[in-house]
Amino acid sequence: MRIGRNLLVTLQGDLEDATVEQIERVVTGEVARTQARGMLIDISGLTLVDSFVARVIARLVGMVRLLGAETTLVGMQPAVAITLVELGVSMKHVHTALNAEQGMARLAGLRDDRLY
Amino acid sequence: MTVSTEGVTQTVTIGAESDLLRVRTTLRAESQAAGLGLTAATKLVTAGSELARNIVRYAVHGQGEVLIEALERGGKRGVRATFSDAGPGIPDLEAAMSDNFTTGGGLGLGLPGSKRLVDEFSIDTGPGRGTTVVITQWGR
Amino acid sequence: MRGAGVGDAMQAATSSDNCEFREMVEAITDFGLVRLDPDGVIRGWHGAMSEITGYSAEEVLGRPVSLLHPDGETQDVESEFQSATSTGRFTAEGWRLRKSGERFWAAVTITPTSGGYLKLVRDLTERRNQELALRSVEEMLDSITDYEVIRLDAEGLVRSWNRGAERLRQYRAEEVAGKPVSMFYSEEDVRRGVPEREMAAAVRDGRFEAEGWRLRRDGSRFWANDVLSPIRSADGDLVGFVKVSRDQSERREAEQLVSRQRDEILELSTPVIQVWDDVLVLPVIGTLDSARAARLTESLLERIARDQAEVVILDVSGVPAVDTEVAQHLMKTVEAARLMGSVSVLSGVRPETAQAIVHLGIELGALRCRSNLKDALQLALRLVGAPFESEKSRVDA
Repeated sequence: MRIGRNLLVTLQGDLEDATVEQIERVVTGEVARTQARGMLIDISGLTLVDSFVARVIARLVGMVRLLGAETTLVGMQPAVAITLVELGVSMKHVHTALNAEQGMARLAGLRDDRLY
Repeated sequence: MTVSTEGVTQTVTIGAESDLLRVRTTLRAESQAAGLGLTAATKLVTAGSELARNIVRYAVHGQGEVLIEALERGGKRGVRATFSDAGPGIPDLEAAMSDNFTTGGGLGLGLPGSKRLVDEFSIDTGPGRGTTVVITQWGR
Repeated sequence: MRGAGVGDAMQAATSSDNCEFREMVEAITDFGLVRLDPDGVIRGWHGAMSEITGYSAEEVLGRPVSLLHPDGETQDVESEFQSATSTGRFTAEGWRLRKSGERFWAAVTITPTSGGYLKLVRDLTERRNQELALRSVEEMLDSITDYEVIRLDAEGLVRSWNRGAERLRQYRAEEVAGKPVSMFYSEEDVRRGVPEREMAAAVRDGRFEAEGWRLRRDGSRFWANDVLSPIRSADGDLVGFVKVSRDQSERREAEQLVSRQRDEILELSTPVIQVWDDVLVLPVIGTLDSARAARLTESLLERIARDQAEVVILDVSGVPAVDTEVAQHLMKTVEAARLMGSVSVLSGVRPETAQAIVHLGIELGALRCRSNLKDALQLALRLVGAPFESEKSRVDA
């Protein structure tokens, strides 16, 4: 879904290999086609992020960066956040925001005092 | 203090990636039934997802299973999941359990991470006898 | 006492010319056979009669069987014979005398034969003593109403049921006598062999204890603590089981109440304060154990989600000792908040705390820190674009 020059990707439900491949294809295709400068990954619907899902997100961020777009991850649920940190999966490279609105504001560089 | 098993125990066969959803769903349901609380439940299901995925990835023919039980101990309720497979076993358990090997790097089994997520964790493995991991999560 | 073997033995004893059978009869050790003529005189003394009574065969042959009866009971011998003759078999339990004058409790069977009578005697003294002992104990236990005390035989059938059991389970003694203990278990448990396993465990370990939900007759549940113990005879044989149950529902409710209260207290002592739209302050006060620290993090993250707080101030000036464990938990909280999209500002960090955190070797990333809460608040307000600021404006990296 395209908003301005940003792409919004919503991940939800069960992510297994087949779906992931499809998501990667569609996303990279769209970023390239629209020459988007930013991508939002909305995971507010994910109640579970294990190492597999974390890797999926990391790969998307990487692919899209190579295509010239920055990514912001939005809407992580509290329980998921604590669990991911305890699990020890590194998400250093991923930028985050509270919600889609915040994420887009960030991507668009609207804020004067940079929070990031 | 005695620990008693309450209710029905469930077994989920783990053969292919498609079984992972059932593992997670069952763990989630049992956690809810035991009144675990969202954070404790999410941690348990995540640990379970990691362990089940190991079986799919590394066990011979991806054959294994998880036995899920509801527990009681002194007024507290909990959930125990026993993951077992007939795979090759983990040759260097110490290395696999050391914190240097996080998911994605090193041995990539996510064992130290899974251990941090649950209240009780035990592992038994060896060449020829597969691997058995038992995790337990208690409510408040 | 019944069975083919005994029948054979009896037959054999009647035909004294058959050597082979007589040897078999002599080999019997737990009961004795006495051959009597029609007048009740002892003509044969076989099996364990000598062991049981203390009389050798020579001492009793030719003497009346009434020598085995305690004084004043000779008329019983007559009536026993009559009964045996008319009904074909007479069975009774009663006192008999040993040579020493000591009494023993015997189970006796008299069968009329062509040559008189055959009397089978079994010494039940020990078993009777056990029964009596059990009965007196049971009477005492019966008076206990708080505890359920059930006695089972070795096969798990209910043999006694005290008033506590009636009260707890709502079954009367008559309704459960002789029934298997499995009737009190759920269908699922019976199918899985739980009653048998528990009895086996009691036999093996001397005791089996479990806590769990039990069902009353009306279907209502109660939380019980059960202890199952094996009962053994003097020889060590398994005679049965005793199961003592206690209704712990009240205790469990009390435990849960305490647990709930503890939760509430914990909630109160970890307040997350909203100081401005999108700015939360978590003043961390007092010592942190891992349970409390976990609760802190959980409540903070929940508040971030609920209030959509962009900035969180973690003020640790009220924590006396920030060791590496606490420091690590702090950093995990900061990271978890970041994953949710919230920025953390650490305030009130003391020199020891700074050391502890850096010792962890964790990358601080863009973590903002201020030495006191006031400065942290100013920063936070600036970050969220609040309309007012103090005169001292600082440039943040």
